[in-house]
Amino acid sequence: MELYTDLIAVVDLEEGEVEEVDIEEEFIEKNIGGACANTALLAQYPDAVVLGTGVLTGTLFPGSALGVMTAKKNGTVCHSAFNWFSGPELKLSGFSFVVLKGKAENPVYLWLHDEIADIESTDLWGKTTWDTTSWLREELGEDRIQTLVIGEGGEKKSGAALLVNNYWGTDDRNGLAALLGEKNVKGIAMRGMGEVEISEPEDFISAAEDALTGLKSKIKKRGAPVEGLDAITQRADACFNCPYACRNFVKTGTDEGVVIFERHLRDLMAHGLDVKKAAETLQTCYQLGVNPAYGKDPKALTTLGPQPVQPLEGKEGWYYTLGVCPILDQFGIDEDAAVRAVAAGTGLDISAETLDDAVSRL
Amino acid sequence: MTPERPLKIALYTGKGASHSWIWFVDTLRSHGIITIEFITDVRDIAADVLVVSGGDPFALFSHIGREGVSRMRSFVEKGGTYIGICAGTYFALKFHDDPYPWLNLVRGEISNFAVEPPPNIRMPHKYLVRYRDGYVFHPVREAITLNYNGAIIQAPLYGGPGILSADAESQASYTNFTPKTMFLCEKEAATQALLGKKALVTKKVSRGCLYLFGPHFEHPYFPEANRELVTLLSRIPPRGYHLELTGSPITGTEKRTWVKDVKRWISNGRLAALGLQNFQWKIGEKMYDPERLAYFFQACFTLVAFLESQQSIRAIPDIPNRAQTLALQVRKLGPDANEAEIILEGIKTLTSDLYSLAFSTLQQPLPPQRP
Ligand code: SF4
Repeated sequence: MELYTDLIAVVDLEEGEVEEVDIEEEFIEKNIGGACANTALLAQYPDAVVLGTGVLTGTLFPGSALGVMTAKKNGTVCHSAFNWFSGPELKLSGFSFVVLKGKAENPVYLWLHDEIADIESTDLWGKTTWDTTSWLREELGEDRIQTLVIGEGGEKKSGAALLVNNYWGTDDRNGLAALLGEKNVKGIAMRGMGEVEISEPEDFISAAEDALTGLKSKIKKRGAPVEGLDAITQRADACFNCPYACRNFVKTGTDEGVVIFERHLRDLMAHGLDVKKAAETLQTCYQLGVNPAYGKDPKALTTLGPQPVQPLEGKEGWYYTLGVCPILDQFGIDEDAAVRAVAAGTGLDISAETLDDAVSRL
Repeated sequence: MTPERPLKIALYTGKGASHSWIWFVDTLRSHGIITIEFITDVRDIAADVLVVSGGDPFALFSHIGREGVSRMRSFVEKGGTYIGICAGTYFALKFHDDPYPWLNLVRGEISNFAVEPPPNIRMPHKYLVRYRDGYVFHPVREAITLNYNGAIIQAPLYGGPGILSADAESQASYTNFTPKTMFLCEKEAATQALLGKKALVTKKVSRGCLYLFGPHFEHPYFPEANRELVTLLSRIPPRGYHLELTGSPITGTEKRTWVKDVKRWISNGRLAALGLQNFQWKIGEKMYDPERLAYFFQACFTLVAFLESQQSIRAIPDIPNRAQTLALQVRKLGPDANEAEIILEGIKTLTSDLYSLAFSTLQQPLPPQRP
C-alpha cells in the first residue's frame, strides 16, 4: 500500500504473540490514516492501545513527523500525539500501525525493526525515561533507535502520565502513558530501515513543495515564541522534515539540557515559574514521564488521580489523520496541497471531502 | 562426469577474503549464473573455476598454507581456471626476487611496488602494504578507464596492481583516470605507476589457465566490465562437475518460522553494525570498519527477503542460532580487532550459506503438485 509500510502489528501482550496483518487498500481508502485509522482499529480491538501513523507521516510533505496514540479512557476514545522522529521511525520499522491488546504478566518492552515485532521482558520498571532510553539504545546497539517510553507517571497510572519520546515529552495530552503502564509496557523501541512507495512521485513532490513554499514564506522565526526563551536557548531543533524548528534546546547544566515542547513550558510558566526554572522543571517532568499541565511539582504529578479527556480541537483531527504536526496550522498550511499529496501518494481517489468525512467520524 | 553440466565456480570466502566476493556473486547472479560453491578450504577443489577475489593475501596464505597453495597449483595444472582479482592477483603473481611462498604462477613485475613509494596524500590506511624490502602502494581508488581487447571500459581499482611485464598475455591495460578516480598520491606519480600498465593478464599453465585482474570487473556499478567478465567465463568449457544442493527443503509454517528467526537476528545484527562507532580494526594487513560488517549483514538481509518470498525453500537448521550469536556479538563489539575478526568470519560464513541456500532453492526440483 503506497505511502505506508505494509503491516499492522497486533500484539497480544497476554499471550506474548504478535500477529502481522496486511494493510488493505480499502482500509486506507475509508480511514485514511492516523487518528481515523486508529479509531477504526480500536473498534476491532476495544481494550487496545493503538499506535498509528498518518498517511503522510515520514514523507517529504513538510511537518510529517506526527504519530498518534489512541485508546479509550473512561469509555471515551481519545488521542495523543508523538512526533520528533518517532512517527516516521514507527512507519519505517515496517509497521504503520501497532495494536497493543491485553496485558503483559510482567513488564515488557516492544522492539520494532524490519517488520519484526519482538516482545521482550525487562527489568526497566522503576527506571526514569532517560535511563530507559539510554539502556534500550545500549542494549540494542544503535543510538538512532527512537523510543516511546513511560516513567514513574505511567507506571503509577497517574492522571498526569506523559509519554516520552527518547528523552523529551510528547503531546500526550490524554495521559495515555498510564494505559501503557496498565498493560505493563515500559516502552517501544523502533528502528526503521523500510521505505514507503509513492504512487505518482512527481505530483507528490510538487504538492509537498507547494506546501513547503507556503509555510516558509510565513515562518519568520526559529524556536518557540516564548518570552525570555531565546536568551536561554542553545539551538532550535526541528522534528522530522519540519520547516519550523519550534523545539528549543535549553541547557540546564554543564552536560544536560532539555528539548522543550512549547505548551509544556507555557503550562509551567502559568504555574508561576520563570522561563529558566520552567525549563529545568520540564526536564524533571520528562524524566519522570509526567505532564506539567497539571502542576509544577513533578514528583507529586506521578500519583495524580484521573483527569478528564482532552478532545481534539479545531482542525487537529485533520492533522492527526494526515500525520502532520498541527502546530503548523498557525501558518495556514496549504490544505489543497496536502490533499493532492495524499491522492498522488496513495494513488487512491481521496478528495478533500473524503478526508473531511473520515475526520468527521472522530 | 556429465559434460552438459554448467560451469561450476568455486569462490574462496575464507580468511583473507574481504567483501568483494559478494559483488562477484551478485553480478553473476544477475547474469543467470548461480552454479557457485563457496569454499574456505582449497585442498579439494571440485570445480571448473576457482575465484580468489579482493582481501588480504597475507591472511589468505596464513589460512591456506603451503599445502593449500600446492593444491591450488595442481588444480590449475590439471585443467582448472584460476581467476584472481586484486588480492587474488597478487597471490598468483611472482613480483619479487624473494617472494613469499604464495601461488606465484605468473612471473611479472608490478608498477606499484617500490622501496620508496611516492608520498601519500589521502587515506593513509589504504595506501601502503609492506612487502619484503619495500611496499606495495595503491596510487588510486575508484573508477579508472581501461582498454580491454580494444574496447574502452571502466572498472574500479581498490588496491589491485599495475602489471609491468609478465610471462603472460595482456588483455587489458590502464589508459586513463576518470572524474571519479581518487588519488592517494599525486596525479603525476599515479600516472607513472598505472597508465599504460597491464590491468588483466592471462596465462596457460599445463592444462589450466589463469586470469589475473587488477581492477574489479565484477563490481555491480560497472555493467560493461561485468559483461566482459561474464563473456570471459562463458568461454571456459565446463568439465561436468556436480554442484550439491545445500540444506533441506522446508515449507509452510516450518519455513515461515525459520525465515522469521533468521530475519529477526540478521536485522538485529544489521542495525547494530550500522550503529557501531567509527572503529577501525586491523585484521591481518588490512583495515576493516563497521561499514564492512554492515555490508555482509545487508547482503544477508536481502537473501533472507528472497527466501521469505519463496513458497518452499532450502534451509540449514542452525542458521537462526548462528545469526543470533553474531547479532549479540556485534551489539557488544568495541575496538578489539580479535573480536571483530571472529564476527567477520562468522558473518562471511553465514552470508555464503545464505547464498547457497538461495541458489539451491532456485535449483531444487519443484515439489509434487497436488492433484
Ligand atoms: S512544529 Fe514543532 S513540534 Fe511540530 S513538527 Fe515542527 S518542530 Fe516538531
